[in-house]
Order: sequence, then structure tokens, then C-alpha cells
Amino acid sequence: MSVLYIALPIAILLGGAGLLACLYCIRSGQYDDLESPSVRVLIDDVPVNTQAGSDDPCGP
Amino acid sequence: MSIDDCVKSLHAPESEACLPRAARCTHCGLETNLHDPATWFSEPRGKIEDVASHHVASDPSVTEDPLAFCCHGCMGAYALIHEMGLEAFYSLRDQRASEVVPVHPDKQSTVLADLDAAGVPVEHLADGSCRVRLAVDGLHCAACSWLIERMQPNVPGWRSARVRMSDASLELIYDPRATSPMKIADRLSQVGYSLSPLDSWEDEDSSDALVRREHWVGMAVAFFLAANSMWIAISLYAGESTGMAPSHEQFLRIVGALLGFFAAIFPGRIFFRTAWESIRAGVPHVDIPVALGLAVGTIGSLVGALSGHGHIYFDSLASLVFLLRIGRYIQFRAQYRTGVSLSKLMRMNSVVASRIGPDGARSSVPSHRLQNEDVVEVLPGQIVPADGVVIEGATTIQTAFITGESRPVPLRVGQEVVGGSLNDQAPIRVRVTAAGNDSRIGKLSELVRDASTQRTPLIQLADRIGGVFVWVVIGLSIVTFIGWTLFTGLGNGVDRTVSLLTIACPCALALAAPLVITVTLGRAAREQIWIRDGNCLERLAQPGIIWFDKTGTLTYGDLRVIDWNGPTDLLPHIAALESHSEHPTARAIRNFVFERLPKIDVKKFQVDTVKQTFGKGIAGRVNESHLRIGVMELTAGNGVAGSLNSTISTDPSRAIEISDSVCQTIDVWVDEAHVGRFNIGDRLRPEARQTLGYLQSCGWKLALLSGDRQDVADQVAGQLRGGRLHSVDDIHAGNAIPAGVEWVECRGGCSPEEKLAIIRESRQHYPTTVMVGDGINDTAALARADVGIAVRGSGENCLRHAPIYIPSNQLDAIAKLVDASRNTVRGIHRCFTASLIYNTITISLAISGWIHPLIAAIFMPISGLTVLAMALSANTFSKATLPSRTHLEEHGPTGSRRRSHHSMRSREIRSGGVL
Repeated sequence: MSVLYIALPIAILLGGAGLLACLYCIRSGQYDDLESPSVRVLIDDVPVNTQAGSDDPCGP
Repeated sequence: MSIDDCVKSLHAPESEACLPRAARCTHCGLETNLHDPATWFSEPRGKIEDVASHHVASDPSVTEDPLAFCCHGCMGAYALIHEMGLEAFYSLRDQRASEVVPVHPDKQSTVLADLDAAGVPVEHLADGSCRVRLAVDGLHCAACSWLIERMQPNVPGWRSARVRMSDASLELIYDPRATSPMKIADRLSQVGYSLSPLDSWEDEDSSDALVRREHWVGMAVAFFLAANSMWIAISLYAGESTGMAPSHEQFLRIVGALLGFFAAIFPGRIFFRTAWESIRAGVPHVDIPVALGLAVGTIGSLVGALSGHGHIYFDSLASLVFLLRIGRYIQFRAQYRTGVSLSKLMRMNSVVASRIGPDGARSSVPSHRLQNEDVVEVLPGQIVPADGVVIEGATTIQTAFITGESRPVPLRVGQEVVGGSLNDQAPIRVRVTAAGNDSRIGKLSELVRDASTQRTPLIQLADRIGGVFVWVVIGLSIVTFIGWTLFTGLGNGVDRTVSLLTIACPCALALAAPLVITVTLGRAAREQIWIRDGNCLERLAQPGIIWFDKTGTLTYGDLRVIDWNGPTDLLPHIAALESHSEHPTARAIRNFVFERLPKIDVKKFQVDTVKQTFGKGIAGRVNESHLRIGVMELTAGNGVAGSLNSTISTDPSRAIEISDSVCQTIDVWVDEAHVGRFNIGDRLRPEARQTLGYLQSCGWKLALLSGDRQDVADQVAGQLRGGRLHSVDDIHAGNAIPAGVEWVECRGGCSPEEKLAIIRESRQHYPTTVMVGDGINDTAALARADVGIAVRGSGENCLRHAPIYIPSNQLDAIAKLVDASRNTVRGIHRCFTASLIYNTITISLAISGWIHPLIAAIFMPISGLTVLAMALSANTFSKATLPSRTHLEEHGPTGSRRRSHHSMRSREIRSGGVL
């Protein structure tokens, strides 16, 4: 069970890395707006002012 | 609707479900009430088809749909959206919101032209572009943010747009060489969104965002530590029962103790900080026992871990910190939401000043950025942005919000003018003597700002009890610690002390009152009731007397002429004279004349020696004859009135119209001969009778306080007494069937000063004096009453004088408010009781050693959450207790529009908070 001396710190370090990533997300403002992004992914980018129609998913 | 459906219909926006409904505006969805839609649609359709064929792959089915627009604004917006090829907006909107998205009129401020002058921080990025965050007005749902973000590629030089729904702001990145925020704002205003700088209120908003992030960080760290220390605790317990090497056990204990220690000093440090601050300030705070418990637990655990024996509590410590942080966050959210609602209200009323530089150049600045000695220009119809001295021009101003004086006051060069006054007539230039927070406006808005942190008597009581409680708990814990340590050893002593300190939860006590009040304020805002001062809720819970203003409060306040009894050829002369007055009666008469005789030109009449008398009328020479229009003098007019009474219209349809109105007669004399009479009416609000009846059933006394003549006030009071009037004679005689509402008093003919005096006197006789009036000329009385409720006027003005403002003008909101106040106070009492019982029981259990620290740690947040739940479930603004809303149906199309607007706003407010 001496592996505990190595495994435990590693486990906590790994978890700590995840925590740091989470903190980075929070600090960079990714959680500030929980409403708009959920809708944003549903919207296709429509090419505007290019050859109209051909690749417009809203077209006929 | 599932996401699949949603995505599918996004790809097929022309599908049946997405077609605009008939008789609804294609753009905003409001019902259109056009008389002849065909004439409206022919022109815009051609235009849109033109536009569409040039720019987008227009789908034939779209243009074949019946297009309908409620106004030119919507038509323009529709054309613009088409032009940009963004029709998917409509399908997305229909997906996301069943409610309508009305388009705001273009109220773009010029302040964006010079962001530096406006004090907006602009960030210059490395590639030469600029980044700025601006407030967006008119943002309602996700479709709006989609539309704004999708407009970006259409504006050259606009690099990026990111809408943040939570505080209705937009982050722009643009190339200053190719475009400007002004141009972008112009473009956005065409589709109904206006941009404005985030003013000082919003600065606080953004710091709120930072605080929120810190809360998230704290919770994340606390969760990490709690989760890890918990599985270490599990291995320890497992090891205890199955046996493990002492060296491993010691290792686990040290790691666990370190985790608990970190939990106490990183996420838990806010408790130590507040506790320390409260000790330094000498005010006991709920965080003192919490910090003490954490400290004792941490030290005990560390000692236990290092010495290798004795119990350690690191897992309970870490989870305690985690749960406490969650509680703090929930509390913060509740307060933040109220703040957002308020700041949105304030944002609508921001004032922009037009500053004249030394070289004569004009620039727009928000009023709070003005400096002393700046010169500003104030055009007619604008609000004076700061206190100052007039240096150029002469005009009349309205200072209603300061003095309650409803008449305009003349103003000349050299006179002082107070910020917030409304310029009536001519442009003036003002040298600023006090701006921003030093001005009278500034000081008043500070009042509003402070109100959210104000401590009402109930909260103060809670604070006092909480303070005593804190010391009692600390005393008890010391006794417990010493006692148990002496008799059973250190381990036991620490155990019980930590249990006691953790489980004793004054939070329930100290949290409940502010929480219930905050929750109620938030719900009130959702119901379109803005409350500046939490004290009102406690005061409104105790019935007293309510004084109602008449015009604009019990009635709609828009006067119109019901009947004219006299020669028609005199009307142009009357209009010519009345065009010199801005009195509502004069306006009503003017409108009536122009309606009847649209072709007349009042300018060709020579009018001079015009003289207005407050409450009496207007007199002057029109084309060589002396004309007098006004209220009959009782001493002189009796005989004439009698002779005319018989000639008053007896047309049945008129009589019905009059019976719903509050009537007033205005007589006309030419060269002292009585020649005619106007019947002028004002409609009663349909919900008035019901609301008054409800208030009376709650134990309130009702009274009427009007600036109008006594007989008019009597007539209104009589009508509301329950009877319906059947003929004109009844109205003049004041006959009504007595039933329902009973008036304690009915005072007419009161000047603002008299109203003030009456309110002052009434405060000595009744426990609670409430004044309901408009924010225009009742301000003094509103401010003087125990609780002032403003129902009309600008929000800025009203909130300044009355702690409660109801912008929807709906009287039934008062009934809801009274109800909510009673429930609020009841809710607070319930929380107090529950908290006291809980604490007495748990503390005695903890002292006697029945509660393990771990159980205590679980109980502590549970008790806090119970209080939260009780506070949230306090029955404020619940639907069941409200008087029925049938009057809305009676009210017809205006009512339904108002309702849709109302729910739109409430959604806006709800979307402001993501919990």
C-alpha cells in the first residue's frame, strides 16, 4: 500500500489541475451569461452579402 | 419543444408554424388595428420585394404572406431585416418566445458620438481596433441578441459583437478608422435597439459580475476540497474497521487535515474577514460564531492530525465551508437581482446634457459627468441636467418635482435653476454650479441607491437579537469547552464546542428578515411595482388611512370635451385663446375644436392681454372682444347655470358616456355675457371601484384629496361609492346609490401646500398614512406621507419622492401591495419563531453532547436553507390572494396591450437573473 504516498498526491494534483481549469473558465467570464450561448449553438452562420441563395440554409 | 424541432424549423423558417398570424404585426406581433390595411401594405410590400430581389434569395412564400404592420417603425425594421437577409430572426423569435417583441421608438442619444467625453472606457486593442461595452435597451430575448450579433458583418469596420443577456449589455469591437459606435448605434436603432453608455449604476453592475465570479471561484475551490477530504475520510473510516497500517493512517490524516485547513483559509476566509471587521466595528455579526467554529475546528483537527490521536473534523470543516458558500451565493443572487431591476429602471431615465465648449462646439455628455462652470444648453422639453445659473435666454420651467408646483415658473438670466426641472418654452444656457452627486438630483438619487442597503426596523430588531444571540452562543461555547475539557478531556471538549458553534445558527435569525424583504422587493418589481424603501412593506402591513388623488389616479387624467353647448362660430375664437394655455382643460378644448373644425387657423386671430388664473380659467382679448373661459363663479353664476341646465344635451348615448365620466363644466363669456358651456369629462379607471372595495375590506380607511373643485371631488367620491349614475342630472346632483366604498373624507380644491398640510395632520390621527398620487404635482404630499405611492410621471421623479412607484398605473397593484406587505411581515415573524425554536433545541442537544460535529455541520446549512425556503415561500404576490382581474377584460384592447407589455417586462426582468 506504499503506492498511496505517490498515488494520493498525484490524484490531488490531477484534481487540482481540473480545478484550475475551472477557475480559469470562471475568471475569464465564461459563466457570466448562461443564456445566450445555449441559443447561439442552434444558429447556423448564414453567409451574408455573398452569392445569395446557393448556400442559404433558409432558402427553398 | 424539443431541440430537434427547433433546429428543423430554423432550417425551414417558412413552415406553417412560423408564419405571421393574421391581423398581427409581422415584425413585432402586436395586434394591428388599422382600418384599411390594404392601403398600408401596398407601398411597403413593393419596397420589400425590391429590396429582397436585390440582396437575398427571397423565398416566394415569404412575400406572399399577408404582411401587416402596426406602425412605420415595424415596417422599417422588417424591411431592414430583409435587406440584410436575416429573416431567420422571425422564425427564431417564434421558437423562443410566445410573447411579442415590440420595437422601441428611436431614442438614440447623441452621447455615443464622443465616448471619451462621456467617460466610457474604451479599450484599444493591439491591432488598432477598439473594444467598448455599452448598454442595450430593448433587449428582450435570445432572438434579440441573435439579431444584434448577426448584424455585425453588415457594418464595415464592426469586428465583433457579443450580447450579454444577464445585464443587457453589448461588447463591441470595431475599427475606429472605418466606423464608430455612433454609426453602429444608428444601425441598431433602426431595428429598435438603442445603445447608451453604461452609467455609474452599471459600473456597479460590472463589479457585481466580478463579485459573482469570486463567489463561483469560492464555491468551486470549496467543493474540490470538500469532495477530496470526504473520500479521505471514507478511507479512514474503512481503515478503522478493517485495519490499516498506522503510517498510512497518519499520512491520510495529515493530507485530510491539510485539505480542511485550506478550506478554512481559502474559501472560508470571507467568514474570518467579516467576523474580524465586525469585531473591529464593535457590531456582533453572525459570522463571528461561524469563524470561531471554523477556527476551533481547524486548530483541533491540526492538533489531532499532528499528534496522531484524537478526532479530526477536516471533512466536516470542508463541507461546512462549501455549504456556507452556497448559502452566501444564494443570498447575493437575491440582492443582485433587485439591483438589476432597479438599475434597468434608472437606465431608462438617464439624462444627457448638451455641453457648449469655450469655442462654441457642442458635445453630449451624461449629466453626471458635467463639471462646475461648464455651460450647457437646454432646449424646450428637455430636463435641466444640473444645478446652475441661467446665463442666456428666458423661459418658463416646471419645478413640479421640488415644490409640487404644477404651474410653470418664469426664468430669466441670472436666476438659479435646479437640475431636474423641465424647460418649457425656449432654449436657455445654464452655467453649472453643482453637477453629479453634488447637485440636488445627485443627492436624491443617492438616496435611492442607499435604500437597497437600508435597514428597516424589523431588520434592525433582527440585528439586535442576532447580536445578543452571538454573544450568548460564544459564552455558552466557552462554558461548554471548559466544562467538558475538565471532566472528559480535550477531544470531547473540542467536539461539543464545534458542534455548538456550528449548529447554533443565528443566520436563520439575521437572514430571514432581510431575505423576505429582498424577495418581496424583487417580486414586486416583477409585478411592475418599484419599491425604493423596504420600510414601506412593514408600514403597509398595518391598516390606516389611504388618501387618493383624483386626476390621473382614480381617473385616467386625460380630459376631453363631451359636449359643447353654444354657437359653433365662436369655437375658433375659443381655440385661439386656449392655445395660450397648457392646462389640461385648455388642451381638451383645443383638441375638441380642431377635431370639429380641422381647417381653422388660430394664428389669424389677434390675441392679447391674456390672463390665467389658477383653478379658475383664462381670459383675454380676441379680435377686439373680451373672452373669458373658465369655471363659473358660484356667487355670480347661479342664475345663469340654472337657465342653461335645461339645455344640456339629453341625447341618451351622451348620457351613458357621461355616466362613466367625471364631469366638469367650463363656461364661456363674451364681454361678460354668458354664451356657452363645455362639458368636460374624465373617465374613471375601471379597476378603481374594485380596488377600493378590497382595501376597505382589509381595514383601510379611504379618503379623497383633490386639487380639483370640491363638487367634482364629491362627484367622483359619489360615483365610487358604488352607485352608477344614470343621467346628467344625477351627476350634477351627485346622486348615487350608496353601497360599497365609504369615504372617510373627501377634500377638493386643495393646492399642493394644502395637501401637504392635510397629510401632515392625518399622520397624527392614523397609525399609517398612505398617499396615492402622481409624481407631478403631489410630490410634496407623497414625500410627507408614511408611505407615498406614485402612479404617474417619470420613474426618476416618482422614486425620488415616493418610496413606491407603480408605472403601470394600475390601481389594483395597490391591493396586491397591501396584501404582499401583510404576508411579508407575517413571513418574517414565522422565520423568527422557527429560528428561535430550532436554536433552543439544537443548542441544548449540542451542549449535552448528543450531536456529533459532523451532524452539526449537516444541520447548520439545512437550517439556513430552511429559512431560505420559508422566506421564498412567504406568500407575497401570490395569485390566489389577489382581487380578480376581470376588469382587464372589460378594459378592451388597451388592456390587452398593456398586459402583453407587462409580461414582456417581467420576462425581461426574469431573464436578468440566472439562478
